[in-house]
Amino acid sequence: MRALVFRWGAYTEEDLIHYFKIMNINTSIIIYELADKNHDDPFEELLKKKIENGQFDFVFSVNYFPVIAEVCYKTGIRYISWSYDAPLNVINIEETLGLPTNTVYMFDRLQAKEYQDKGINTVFYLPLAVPVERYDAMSLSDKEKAKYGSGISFVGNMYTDILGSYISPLSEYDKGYISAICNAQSNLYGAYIIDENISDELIKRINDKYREIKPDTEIEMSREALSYAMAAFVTRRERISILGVLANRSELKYYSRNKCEMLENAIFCNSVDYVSEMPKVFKASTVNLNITLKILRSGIPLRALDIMGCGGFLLSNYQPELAEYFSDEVDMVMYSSVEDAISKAMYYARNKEKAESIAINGYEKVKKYFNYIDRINTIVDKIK
Amino acid sequence: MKILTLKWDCFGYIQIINAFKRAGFELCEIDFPREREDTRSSEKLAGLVVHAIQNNNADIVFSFNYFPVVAIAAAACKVKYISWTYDSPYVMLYSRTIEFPTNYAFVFDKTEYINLKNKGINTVYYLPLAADTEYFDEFTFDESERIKYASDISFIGSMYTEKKNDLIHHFDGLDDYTSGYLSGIMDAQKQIYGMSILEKSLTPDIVKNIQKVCPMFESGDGVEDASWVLANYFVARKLTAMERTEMLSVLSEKYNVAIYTPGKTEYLRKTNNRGPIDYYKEFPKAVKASKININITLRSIVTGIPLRAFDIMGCGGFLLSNYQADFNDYFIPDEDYVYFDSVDNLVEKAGYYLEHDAERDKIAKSGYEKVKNYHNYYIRVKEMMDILGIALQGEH
Repeated sequence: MRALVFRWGAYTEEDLIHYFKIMNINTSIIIYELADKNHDDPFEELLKKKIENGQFDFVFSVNYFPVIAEVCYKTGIRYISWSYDAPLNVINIEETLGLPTNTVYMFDRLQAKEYQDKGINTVFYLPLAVPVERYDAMSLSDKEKAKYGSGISFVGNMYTDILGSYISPLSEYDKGYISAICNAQSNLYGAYIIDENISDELIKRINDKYREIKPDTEIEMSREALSYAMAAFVTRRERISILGVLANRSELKYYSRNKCEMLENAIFCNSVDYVSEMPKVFKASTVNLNITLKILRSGIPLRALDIMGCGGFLLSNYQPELAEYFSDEVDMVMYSSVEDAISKAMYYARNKEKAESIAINGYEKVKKYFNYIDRINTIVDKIK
Repeated sequence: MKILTLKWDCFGYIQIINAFKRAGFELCEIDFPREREDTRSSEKLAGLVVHAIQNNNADIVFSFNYFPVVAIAAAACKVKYISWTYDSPYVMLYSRTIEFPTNYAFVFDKTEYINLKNKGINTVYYLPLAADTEYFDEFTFDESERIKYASDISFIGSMYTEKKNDLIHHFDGLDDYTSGYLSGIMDAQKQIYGMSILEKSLTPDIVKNIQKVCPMFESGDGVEDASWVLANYFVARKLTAMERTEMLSVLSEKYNVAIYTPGKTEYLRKTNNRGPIDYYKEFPKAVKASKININITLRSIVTGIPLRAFDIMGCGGFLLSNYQADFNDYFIPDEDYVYFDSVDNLVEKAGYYLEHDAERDKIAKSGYEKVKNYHNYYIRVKEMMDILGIALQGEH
């Protein structure tokens, strides 16, 4: 089999290509920095030429790009995409999603179902995978253990607060309303209610206000954008609450692009390289936190799988698919409130052996059920 | 063993007396004037109960609903106090007196039970309500009554829009932000069954803003806080009013809906408002004459099975209820009753079961049998006494 893989810098590209090769899928690469996922003439030319000059069975990308979907459709070649983001952050995605040459894999079952329920039969559910062999081969020097190790670690985005500026021109009533929805969501695990509570009228009011302030404004608020901003706000607050309290009671390192001023006692470490450094954090820390972005309704985030695949102990928010594939307190541990997270993190940070024995179980499960070979087989089987 | 029962106009009084008798207990009773006296702290009431306990040599005191003064009296006399609370919300469960070791406080909402347990209160227990199917079985119709009460769909209950229930009009003058906030948490809660986010979402700032226009006095002996009172007495009722209005309105657009309710309902133009009915004399007839009986649970009852649901099934009526998690402990959906989890779902299921008489009858019958055999007052008495560690003296 021959694959043309589009590389844009996704975390998992290197591992995917490695496993394609192991499974005798000949891979050619096309690297390009797309400014616009929907449209790029030079790129379309380049891709078209590459497809015509090669004899590929499929074009592949991590995440979904309408521009690729269109070229593949025009040239009659299969386009396979496997997303690790939810939402997908693609404008007007439904315009191309159903193209018959597409096979679009999504790792969040509810996200996939949403499109399937609309009649889009090119979308399928496929949970993510972990390069367990590569993680197994990584060993840490004592210096690295000291550098990356911690009682509690968190790798992730602290999100900036954009919601405030989005809603600043709104009436007090609407601000109160949005605040309430965020607070309600904060108390809920396993359900995402923000979308249903953003009415068309509310969006219209927001845009009317923007136009009132600047009549020729090009800024247009959409439900997706507001939903994302609210989800980020709630998640940021949850991350700050949990990390903030824990950092006062235990050694806590967090790896993020930007330092969060509110986390005074937490040890800020710059963001780590996904491939070469991140696994070391998970291997060297007693407790690894996963606090999922709220908008991810049911799927298991890559972070959680990577933690377990590295043999790290995972403490995660309750996430429906995590509960489905893994046993709580056996393979990993889940929390369903901020207080719950704090007390469990403290408990396992102090009970290293218990954490380690749970981590081993999680690792075995990930190795068995979330490996790249199985996933690629699924992808290849569908082609045949 | 002698039980002193406190008589007031509660549901189930005659039924519990009969069940205690059947279980072989000796009985005595006193009138309990809870409307006239303060059941938290009235010395007069406490004295009344103490005397009754002593004069009758009672071993156990029983009341429906929990009363702090009774707990005080029972504790003073060192006798057990069994209470079975069927009201919700019921703020007196948060009285500090709940912790007296002589208390056995049964509550019918498992979430309420868990909340109290989590506060460290070990004198509460979960006990669902019950129905007296023998009593309901007595009701027969003549033809004119059948016509009078007949309906495709019936709803029996308060709309919570009546002045006495619309506590939120006390919030006139509330600032815009807080108004929007209350609107938001109600809209959010509307989508969620099985859990309440109301109390947790009423943050201290919001509570402060509300108290500016509606000062609430916290009871001296209780541990409930303002957010609990606001969530359960105010917001939950308002939300229930909104939901009952919306659901009955939407249903009546498509189907014939009769409602039996005390207030005027001009806002429900297509429903047939037949006014309030007497629980003992008319309710069973209204249920039996209706093809479908709707239950839309008061939102302060988070997971509990409301008395209404037991009544409907106990009358042999077909129950179509909002999802309430405690049903899962005892009943099978689509076999003993049917639940809906959204307005659309309600309309869809109502339509389906109006068209499928045989299925509907089968479900109603199954629900009835379950209630008759497993959810009667005698069984509840057994369950209570199991927890108290008292063997029943009468028939087994």
